[in-house]
Amino acid sequence: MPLIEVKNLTKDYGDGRGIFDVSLEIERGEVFGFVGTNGAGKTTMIRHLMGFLKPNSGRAAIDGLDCWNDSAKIKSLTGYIPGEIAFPDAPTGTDFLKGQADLLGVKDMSYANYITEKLQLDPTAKLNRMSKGMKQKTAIVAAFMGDREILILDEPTTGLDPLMRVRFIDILNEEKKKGKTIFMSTHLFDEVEDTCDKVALIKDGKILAVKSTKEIRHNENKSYKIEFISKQDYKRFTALDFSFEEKKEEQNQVIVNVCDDSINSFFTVLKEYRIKFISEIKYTLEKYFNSLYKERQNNV
Amino acid sequence: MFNKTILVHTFKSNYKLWLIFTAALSVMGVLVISTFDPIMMNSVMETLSGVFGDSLGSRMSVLTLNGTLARSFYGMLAVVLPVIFVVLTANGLIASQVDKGSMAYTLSTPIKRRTVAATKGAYLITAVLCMFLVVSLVGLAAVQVTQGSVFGDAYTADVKTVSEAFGWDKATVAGNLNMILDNPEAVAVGAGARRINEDVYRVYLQQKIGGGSSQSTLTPGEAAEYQQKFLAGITAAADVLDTDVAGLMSDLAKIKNNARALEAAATAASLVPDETLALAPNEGAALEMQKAAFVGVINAQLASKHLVLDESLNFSVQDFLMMNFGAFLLIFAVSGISFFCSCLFNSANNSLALGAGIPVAFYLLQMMSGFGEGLGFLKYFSLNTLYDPSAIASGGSFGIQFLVLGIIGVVLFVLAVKVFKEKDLPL
Repeated sequence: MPLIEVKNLTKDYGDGRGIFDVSLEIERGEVFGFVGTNGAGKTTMIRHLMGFLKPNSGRAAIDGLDCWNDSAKIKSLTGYIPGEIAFPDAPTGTDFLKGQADLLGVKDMSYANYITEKLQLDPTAKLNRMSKGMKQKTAIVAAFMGDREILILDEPTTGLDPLMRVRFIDILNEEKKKGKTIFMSTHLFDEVEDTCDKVALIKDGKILAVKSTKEIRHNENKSYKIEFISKQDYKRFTALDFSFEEKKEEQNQVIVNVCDDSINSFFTVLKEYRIKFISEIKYTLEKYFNSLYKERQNNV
Repeated sequence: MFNKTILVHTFKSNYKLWLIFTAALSVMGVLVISTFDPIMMNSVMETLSGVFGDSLGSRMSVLTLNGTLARSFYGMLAVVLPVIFVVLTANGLIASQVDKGSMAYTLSTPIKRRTVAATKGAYLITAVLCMFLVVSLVGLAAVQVTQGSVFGDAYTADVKTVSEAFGWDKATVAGNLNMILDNPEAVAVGAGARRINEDVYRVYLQQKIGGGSSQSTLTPGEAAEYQQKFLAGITAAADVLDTDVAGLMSDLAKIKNNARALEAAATAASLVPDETLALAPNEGAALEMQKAAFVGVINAQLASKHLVLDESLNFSVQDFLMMNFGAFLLIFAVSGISFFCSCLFNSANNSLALGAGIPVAFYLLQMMSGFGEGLGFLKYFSLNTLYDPSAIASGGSFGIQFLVLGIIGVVLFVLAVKVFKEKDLPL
């Protein structure tokens, strides 16, 4: 049985906003990325998992417990970073973290201290004087200090600088090694590629695809960018029967899609041409999802 | 049902506001109590008698300390200040935290929503209850210190002043007013303290020692005749002084100070019986007798007025506590409204608009209902009508009203928790 299970969940806010017929399955120990643009419905999905919203239809369950009816019980399994940073009234970060530890029933602060150090956070600073990045770090510590089995993170790297983002991904990978299940929303594709086992793409409240990142990384469809020295060669090449993604006549450049099993014939053909350079364009998640977006639009 | 940690957190972030409002309300209460002076107030009200147009008797409930507190403290400040406190606190407890998003941290812990709302509601109720407990205790202490009438007897202004001036014991003086009456200097001091004429003061003391009115020997028929004669005298004096009778009635001393008026009044009233008058050697002496008799009546009237005023020093601890309890119940009901709004709305602006708007509207409606006959019906649209401190001070009934306030409060708090438990939260 999957640890987190969402079945045909719909929350309709009207005007096409909300999430519609979403179904997801996340296994224990999996790191699950939830990707979509702003307003796609990521936060709405997460609020259902946290039991803040009641579904119109369908259900979400964690460890067999209904997210709406048993939300208090579920929270002894989860750590949560909200999408918006707004802390309760507390003078300093330390005060807030202590208060949060009280509410969570956390007595041992050593793990909180470990994360704090790792993120180079000074929690003694006044909460309302903290920069966005510091606040986000404080929120991260608050979510992780319970050392809970499941982490639900809504855009957890917002406000972090690139260095800290790397640190945070380190921490995530450590948690993953400990066997934790992580549900993370983001609009940054590279973040997902670095950490997640599985990725779901959501657009306009609907799940477009769920893919494993391995599958995408080891994709057999590759793209190459080639620039020819002469216009003549360019013209001759573009007349051939390849799948061209882009043709740039001014620069004598083409981007061509080649599957791994036809790579040899491709290079045999290419031998006849004088080329300036050739480079492989890495197949990224972003690219994959962009192609999905396009497909959708074409279908509509 | 309740969570101790949340209660501690709520207390920590809210106790300052409570302290400020409780301190302010206590200070106001002490001010009203310590400046209470029935004699002074009566004279103010007499000059305003055109406005009030009433007799001393009906003014009595207003003139007592309980009445004064009911009117100027429990009818206004003790409602307005706690309402502001409640509105601010209720909004901060739930709605503003949901609006800001900080409620997400509280609700990401294994504590039920119902527990969160119930604990915060309990804080609000306890805060209001403690506020009125403090105000009651401070009030009682202030009454004891400044008026001395909680434990033991209150001393009238003249007894206090004379005792201090002569180094006598207040209780002894109060028990034996002859000590003042027999000492001309003491009479002068006492009369000064009461701001009355020495003659009137003497009559007052005699009446007080006698334990009642000097006119008690008259039969009802004689009294009515007497009253009529007296009124005729006043009317004559009013003609001379060119004022109206009602105005003159409330300021009898004026007649004494004007020789012509007194003469006219004495002649018109002719209070002295004919057989006594026959003893006068001549007309001049007879007129003097008439005058003396009239002055005597005036003095007796003025003195008995002061005798009534002394009654106003009586302080009812029970009424005072009831006023506080009633104020608590009203604020409890109002806090139910504010807390319900705080639980219902996700936007702090909406919560504040209704959570403050409804209580303010209630207050204004109640105020407007007192402005005129035509607006009287407005009181049926205001919760504040159910708390009438003046009715408590003047012995009116209030039990059912209190019960209704309590029920409204309980229902609203229960609904508030339920609503918060079942709504969608944008966290």
